[in-house]
Amino acid sequence: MLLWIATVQAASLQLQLERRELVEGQTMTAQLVLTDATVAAPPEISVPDGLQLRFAGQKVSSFINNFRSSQALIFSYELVALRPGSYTLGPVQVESSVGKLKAAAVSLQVSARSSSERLVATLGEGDSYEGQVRVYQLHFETARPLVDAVWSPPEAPGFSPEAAVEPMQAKDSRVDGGTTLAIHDLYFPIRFAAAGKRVVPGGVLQARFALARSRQRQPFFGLDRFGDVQEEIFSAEPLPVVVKALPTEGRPADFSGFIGQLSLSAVASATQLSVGDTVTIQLNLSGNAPLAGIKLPALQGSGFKVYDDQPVAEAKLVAGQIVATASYKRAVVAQQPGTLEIPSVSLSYFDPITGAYQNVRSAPILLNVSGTASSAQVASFAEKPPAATEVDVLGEDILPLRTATLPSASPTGSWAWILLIPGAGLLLAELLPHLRPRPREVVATPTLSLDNLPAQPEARLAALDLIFRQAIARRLGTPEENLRREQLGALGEHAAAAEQVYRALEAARYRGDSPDGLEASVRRIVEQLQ
Amino acid sequence: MILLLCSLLYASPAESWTQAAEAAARGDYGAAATQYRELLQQNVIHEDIYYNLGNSLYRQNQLGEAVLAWRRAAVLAPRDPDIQANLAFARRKLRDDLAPVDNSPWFAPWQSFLSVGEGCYLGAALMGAGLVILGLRRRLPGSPEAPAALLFALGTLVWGGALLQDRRSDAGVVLAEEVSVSSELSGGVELFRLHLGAEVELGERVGGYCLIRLPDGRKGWVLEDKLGSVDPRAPFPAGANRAAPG
Repeated sequence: MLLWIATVQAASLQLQLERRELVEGQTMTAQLVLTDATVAAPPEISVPDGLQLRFAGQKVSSFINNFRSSQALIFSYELVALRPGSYTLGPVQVESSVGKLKAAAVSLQVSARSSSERLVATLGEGDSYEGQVRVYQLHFETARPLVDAVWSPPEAPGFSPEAAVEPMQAKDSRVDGGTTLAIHDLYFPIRFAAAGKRVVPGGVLQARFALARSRQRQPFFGLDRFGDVQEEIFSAEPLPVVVKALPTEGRPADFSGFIGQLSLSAVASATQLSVGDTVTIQLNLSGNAPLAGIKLPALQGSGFKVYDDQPVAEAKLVAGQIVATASYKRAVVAQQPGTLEIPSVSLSYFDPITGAYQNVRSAPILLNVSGTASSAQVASFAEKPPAATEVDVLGEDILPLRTATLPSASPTGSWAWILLIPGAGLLLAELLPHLRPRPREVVATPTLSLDNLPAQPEARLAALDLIFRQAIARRLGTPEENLRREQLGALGEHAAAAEQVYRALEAARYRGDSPDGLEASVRRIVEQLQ
Repeated sequence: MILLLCSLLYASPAESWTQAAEAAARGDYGAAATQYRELLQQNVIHEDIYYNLGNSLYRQNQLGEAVLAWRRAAVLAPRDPDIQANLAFARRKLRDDLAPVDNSPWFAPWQSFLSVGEGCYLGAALMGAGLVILGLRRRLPGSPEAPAALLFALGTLVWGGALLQDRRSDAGVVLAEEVSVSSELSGGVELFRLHLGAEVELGERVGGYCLIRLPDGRKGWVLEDKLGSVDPRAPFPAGANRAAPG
């Protein structure tokens, strides 16, 4: 809901609250409205102890009032009531583009929440140490029907979520004074990164409660998807923690880095074996903190060879406590007969309860080995030794920087069209002949000559006509088929003779006159025109 | 004289690259990041620069900007195992558990494995091969027109997919510690919140707000300046100025 009511004044600053009364743990929106002015950064509002304020965003709103256009810069904050009491928020003063502006203080009343609904954060008992993993617990009880809940674990410098252990949620219920209370717990392992005074900020629970449905509204085909819900936010109180540094005094040289309680046991897959046989020694670590990365010392002794296997570590939350196990397998190959003693293995760790370094030690294992020493040699060459162990993983990090010579810019594909040129050229060469206008087909015609005229009279006459026309056309430079009688005048001194031959040819072809003498006339005019 | 002054004031790309490596070697990752940013401003766009910028930002605990830099590097070199390894490492540290956003066009899913340049050249090569076959069809046995047309069409699709991906910048990374996602541009209901490094799909932009979409289909409006686009050609956000509360 937009809180801001347009009581417009030029360049003003107002601090507005959604409500003036809150219940402990509830959250509401506070807005700082800056009218007709701008600021470089979101203004900071100091809040009294017992309240928490988080910047939630800003927006610009334009409006017209009394025919005057104004613009408001609205900064939104999320205000969380941590403890009951009477509070005053502000006054707020900002340096704006038009000078200093001041918003009046507003009062706020926070009442105590019902004791049955409370989000409580705990971190267990005992001191905390640098590098230690502890379980941050958020506990919530409610008598109202809870539709769903979204947990927000705390985040702050100085500690980080422990990646090796998954957070755990648990639900339960109990009856208190005839009222059934639903209990929700979140267990969130965190690791303290550095020593010093820390404050673990309160975790947040965003809960949605089902509201009682009105009688008129009936479930839609049995599905109550349209029921009203009310969302509330519960914040746990911050937990001050003093994180101690691990004592340097008395720190053993083989300190494993483990902080917590630890136990160690060793088991052999067999105690009766022959020379050259392999027996698996399994060393089991169990503790209340993650064991990944913890290395056990090597098994040392005479009369046997040892091959390490990759350890298997696991950590999970059980009933709010970390249960971690790690299994280390050692393949031991007996090399000489007799009684072999697999020595004990010890590990140093820090116990935060006693505040001192401790040591766990496995019991030694005795193996009865039969056979002779020579058979060990045979066995050791005949048998394939156990698989080599993988490289121990001590930590994880990003891959290193690249320091080769400066690369040129990545190809963008702007020159890709060049790849089309060969194919396009080939295709064009293929298509060009089909695109050019085709030259006229030259029909081979028999060469006519006055020396070899056909014998048949009609063919002879046609040949004479054609030879005559070709000679005229050559002389005039026009196509033979376009030759007209009127063009004969252009022959100059030969025009009359050509006209005479033309008439004689027409007379012979169309009137049936005798073609005798035509051959000599045509020969004469052709020779004259050449 | 002016040229001399310019050469003194502005380091060449090779000098910036060397200075960045030297700064990183002595642990001054802030100076290294500045040099890598300068290289990008000089329009030297390469996955190695974004990769090293991501590493430098990560060393300064700027996880959001580091994810953005690695995402941009991955756009330029999608199959680079180092980039993918660093991205996977960084994603394990993010608060929001979201599936990575794939911004390849729907009709060209192979663009997830190809850079824009690779897609363009591959598409052009396929089209070129189709044209060559058509040009030589009289000298080839059988009827090569059908495979030539298929190659040409496939090349058009590949090239088109690459060009379309090049013109889209619809994936982004949240650069603020926490952003509020609302149902409306101004006011509305706060739907959910995202945190530093969350990878989202970017939609339309209106009045300083951007419509985002999560892989599970949820949508909402976010202040645009809280997001960074994975488009490698876009100016890289200035990290120091982005520490405002979100």
